[in-house]
Amino acid sequence: MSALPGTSSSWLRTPPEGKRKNFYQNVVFGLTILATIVVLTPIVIVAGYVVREGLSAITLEFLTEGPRRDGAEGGIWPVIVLTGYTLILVVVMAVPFGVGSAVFLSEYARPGRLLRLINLTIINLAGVPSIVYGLFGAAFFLDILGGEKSLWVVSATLALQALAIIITSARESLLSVTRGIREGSLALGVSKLRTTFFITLPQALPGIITGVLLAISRAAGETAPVIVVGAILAKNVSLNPSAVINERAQVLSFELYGRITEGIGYPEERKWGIALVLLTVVLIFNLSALFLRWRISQLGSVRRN
Amino acid sequence: MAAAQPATDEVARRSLSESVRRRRSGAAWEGVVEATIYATGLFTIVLLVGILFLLGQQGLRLFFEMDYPIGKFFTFGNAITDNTTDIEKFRFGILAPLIATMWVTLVTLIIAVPLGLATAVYISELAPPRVRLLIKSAAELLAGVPTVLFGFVGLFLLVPFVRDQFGWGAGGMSGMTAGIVVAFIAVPLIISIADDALQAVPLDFKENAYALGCNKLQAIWFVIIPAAISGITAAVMLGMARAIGETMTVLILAGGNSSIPEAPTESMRTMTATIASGFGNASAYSLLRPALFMTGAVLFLITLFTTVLADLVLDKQRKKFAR
Amino acid sequence: MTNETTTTTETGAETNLSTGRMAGGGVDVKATVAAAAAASPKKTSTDQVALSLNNVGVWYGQHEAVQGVSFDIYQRATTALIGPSGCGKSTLLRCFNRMNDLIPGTRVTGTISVEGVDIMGKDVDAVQLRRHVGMVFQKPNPFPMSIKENIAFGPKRLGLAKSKSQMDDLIEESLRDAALWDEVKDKLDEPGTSLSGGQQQRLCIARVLAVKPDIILMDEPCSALDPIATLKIEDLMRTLAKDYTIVVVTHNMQQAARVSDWTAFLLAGEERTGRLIEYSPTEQLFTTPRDKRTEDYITGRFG
Ligand SMILES: Nc1ncnc2c1ncn2[C@@H]1O[C@H](COP(=O)(O)OP(=O)(O)OP(=O)(O)O)[C@@H](O)[C@H]1O
Ligand SMILES: [Mg+2]
Repeated sequence: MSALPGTSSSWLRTPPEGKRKNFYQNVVFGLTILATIVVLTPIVIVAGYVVREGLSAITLEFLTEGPRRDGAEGGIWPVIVLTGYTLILVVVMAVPFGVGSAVFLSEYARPGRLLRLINLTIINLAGVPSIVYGLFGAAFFLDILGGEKSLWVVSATLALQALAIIITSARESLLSVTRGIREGSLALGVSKLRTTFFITLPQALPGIITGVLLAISRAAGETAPVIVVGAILAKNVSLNPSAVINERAQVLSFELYGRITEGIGYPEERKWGIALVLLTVVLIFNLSALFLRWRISQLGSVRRN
Repeated sequence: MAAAQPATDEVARRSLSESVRRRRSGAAWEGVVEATIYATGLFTIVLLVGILFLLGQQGLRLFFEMDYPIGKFFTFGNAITDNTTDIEKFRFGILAPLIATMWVTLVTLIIAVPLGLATAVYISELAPPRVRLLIKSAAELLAGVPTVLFGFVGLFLLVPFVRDQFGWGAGGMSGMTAGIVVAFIAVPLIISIADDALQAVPLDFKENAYALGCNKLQAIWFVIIPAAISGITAAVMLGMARAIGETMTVLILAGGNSSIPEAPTESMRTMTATIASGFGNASAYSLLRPALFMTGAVLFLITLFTTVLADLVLDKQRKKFAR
Repeated sequence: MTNETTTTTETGAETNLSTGRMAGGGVDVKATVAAAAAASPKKTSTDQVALSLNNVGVWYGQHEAVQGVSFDIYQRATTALIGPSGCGKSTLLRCFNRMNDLIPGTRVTGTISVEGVDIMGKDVDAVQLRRHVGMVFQKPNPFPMSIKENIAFGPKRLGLAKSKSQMDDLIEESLRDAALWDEVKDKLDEPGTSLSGGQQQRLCIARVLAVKPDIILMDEPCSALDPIATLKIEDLMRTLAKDYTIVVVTHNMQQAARVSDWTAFLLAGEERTGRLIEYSPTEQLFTTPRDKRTEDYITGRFG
């Protein structure tokens, strides 16, 4: 894409005064490359450090057993299971409402000043700091609904943020489905609802899934709202699904934060172990989303040919 | 053999005017589904918009139910997160956290803006397509790393270094330390938005510049960047909103001093960190809980205002090149 | 069928020879009309009215795009809508299957009736109407599925085929009628988008035929196609006109002359509101236009 006309051949016949120009140009371009490298090093540092320090903590016991002696021994199995429950619940709550709202916004709502205002709000809600969602969760689920500080409250709070992300990305993928094929279906006498279900949604599906994966990844790594609505450190509790209502939340991100700040005497190595598990979970969702998006762009370029 | 039987006689023809008036089978069922979609959409919108009102309502209780002086909330130079019901003893003002947030954000932007824009220029204008894709993906991964991990790694690598080399803040934990790390959290967003803006500049703009004898640098500097300036502005604003809202790294790395910081190198506690560290022990009837809600509402308004403004700026850019 | 195909192909070749491809040359158009008339005698009148327009007007918000259009569209004839860009041809065409309903802020006045029933009426179901009044768009818009699924989509969603074999028959029949069967019969499972532009457009026509409409609307169906593909579609239109009522919008006056029996000429004034200027049998409109403005337009003396 950088091969624009004129650039390559202009190198051949450089006037003397142009030599200096090219020198500056090379310096500036060199700086941009340097900046790029600086931006990307933290990934290598964070991932490298976490893996190097954490790998030795990862044992079968660490991953599959409950904590002993306040977590200093044993494993983080309850945290892993309850993190799983939390994320499943986030998906169950956020995906239907998120996709439903996106369909509403892109297919049904009449454009106008009100819709524009709503769009603007929702798009920007995805950019609201996560701790604000935590405060809302505390105010709504705990103070107003009078709920206990149980796992579902944490899930519901994280789901709110996921909702904003899912609506935004799903709406974008729905809008990117061309008007042509919608009209093609409508002109056959297929109703709007069926057109949405059989033409528009299938077309937008990869994009919607990408958004959902990113939202899950975000929810898995989110710590601030969990601190606000409240979670506990690793503890042996009943892990059957009723824990969603009966138990307080234990999630990886909070486990890590709690051990960093309060874990005097908590083995250093185990903190890195938690960090490694957390990073792995988040990256799995993140990389799947990236891969899917890459596939979409591939398909897109094939289709355009 | 005959082309699909169209209306060929009187009877069939009458059925056309008849059949267009008949309700489709399943229309009632579809109506139910559509009503559900409407309900879902409206419910979600009400819920999301309700966040603002609920936070405001919970926060304003501080002044109207508990009679904490508004002036004190906005001017008192400390934010002590005591879990108390005694108005005299409660010494909490938003000024110190607000200034701490400003310091961290400033440090973040000073680092992240040049880095982000330079990277955006590189991937958008200079890098070959494969490299571009690779870097964009890497930047997205960077954006996906949980910020608590940044805080944790920063605590182990950056804090001791800062303590030994510069002696800033509380044992190396300062606004500056946090700001440096937050810069890497904000930078992917800046790259992504700025790259979009640069990419949106029509190819013929660039070609015109080359046709006038510009070299690549001149084309980028005098033509492409000016054309994309509103998108770049939006990128900076969104990066700023991200820095203002970042919680975990500042909670772990900024030191946590609740008084007004006079320099970025001091230990400090931002709005987000104040909420996160204080909310756990803020009981339902204390003054602290509404005070933190109020702080959250202010935080919300600042970030919402910034992102909405960025969105409007982006819209302007989109309209400029819409064809 | 074989016989028919040969005839139409010959006609196509002949018309191609006798005309320049540029639109707007009055003499050329007259030659085309003569050639077309000689090749196949056209219906210039018929007693059966498919659609009856009475004082039709369309508003896009505050903008009146079409005003006071009244004429009858005859059954199993081809009617062409011509006129300069922006005069409201597409707008008018999209009234016939109420596609305009989908654009917020659009309002239609007057009546468009089928057998005395106003299709704009509250008691008419727009979705049901569109099943009977099919539409082919300017840009071929095959669904992102296989060729087979493209055709099957409508019948499946509307429940028109009872069994798989019935569906297969319907697919073959529709593709044959759209003169596409021979070209795609060995690759029915390939994506519809893998076809050439002209084939895609015929796929879209086949897709419409599969739901067995009564009227087919076409909005500049050839404008995105090359001359050869255009000729194929024109041949197809002539074949289909034996069994369907066709309304076609076109910018190409030779095309109007070649394929249509009736032609309506629309024109918008300063205020960009389209009005019907003349509606006559095609041959008459192109050879002896009644209105000065029609004459100006078809001889190319006009914007
Ligand atoms: N969705 C719309 N909203 C508002 N105005 C519209 C819309 N579609 C068309 N118009 C306006 O209505 C008028 C008629 O447009 P229309 O598309 O029917 O013209 P046309 O004769 O089909 O032109 P062309 O030959 O270029 O296709 C134009 O002035 C156009 O600007
Ligand atoms: Mg048109």
